Amino acid sequence: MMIKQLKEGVLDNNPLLIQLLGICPALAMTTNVSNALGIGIATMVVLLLSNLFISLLRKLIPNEIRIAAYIVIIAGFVSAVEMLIKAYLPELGRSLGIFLPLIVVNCIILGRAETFASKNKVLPSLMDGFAMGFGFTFALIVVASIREIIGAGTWFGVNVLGESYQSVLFFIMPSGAFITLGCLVALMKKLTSFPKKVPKNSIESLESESVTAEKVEEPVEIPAEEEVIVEEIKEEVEVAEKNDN
Amino acid sequence: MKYYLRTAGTLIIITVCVVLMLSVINLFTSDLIEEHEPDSVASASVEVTENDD
Repeated sequence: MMIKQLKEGVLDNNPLLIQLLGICPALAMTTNVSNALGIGIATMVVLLLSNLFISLLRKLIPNEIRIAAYIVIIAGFVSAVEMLIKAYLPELGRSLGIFLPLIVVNCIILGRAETFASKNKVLPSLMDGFAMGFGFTFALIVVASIREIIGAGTWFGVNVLGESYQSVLFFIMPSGAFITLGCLVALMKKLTSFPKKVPKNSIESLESESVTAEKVEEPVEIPAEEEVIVEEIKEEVEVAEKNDN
Repeated sequence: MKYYLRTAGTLIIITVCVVLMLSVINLFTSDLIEEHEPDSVASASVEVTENDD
């Protein structure tokens, strides 16, 4: 169950590369891997906490005010995470800037709250939060790695392509982010849309089904007794029509 | 009437809980934030209060 949910969050239903949610921070905060890791972990923490509390309160929150309640809860946790980052990791807080409070409007968090946490128990909701957050962080790190290595020749600030490497600035710019994300989305689509192999047994069963379908198409003989009944009904209908006229 | 009271009450209770949580976190982090960002809104409000006194 746990591995299945994790696989769904990272590959089959990745929030960034499959569902295309949270593109704003993905484009803006992936100029280097440190920023991508920071915003990814912050989103994952908010996703975990909001899923936990929304799942706990799902029976208490009336249906009409659920979105308002979810937004209050999510905004509270985002503010808490922002304060903690600014207090204990001031450098990261400064580099994330406005994108840290903007986690409130990240579609992934409200989407998971509405589609999963509000309908499931606490433990599956927590697992879903972790899986989706991990998938989002993973995707951000992949995009940021490509952009930082090609665009600056570094990874986590460490020079990996040598001093003589001439950086391609295009990848650091927003257009580079669009191209990188587009290529990754196409790759993900290709990887996850393999035709599934059909086992031999199922082919045999399909053939047998087609045989039975042919049999059904043959004309059905009506027994003599039923024919008589049908004729009687027809006569009664004709008499009734004549009486009406 | 009871339904409206319940709906409004739930939202108010959730909001109050969130504000309480943020107040507690702010209590522990405000000094650190002020240290790192002396020009932040929190430190500015402290200065204004001091000038008023």
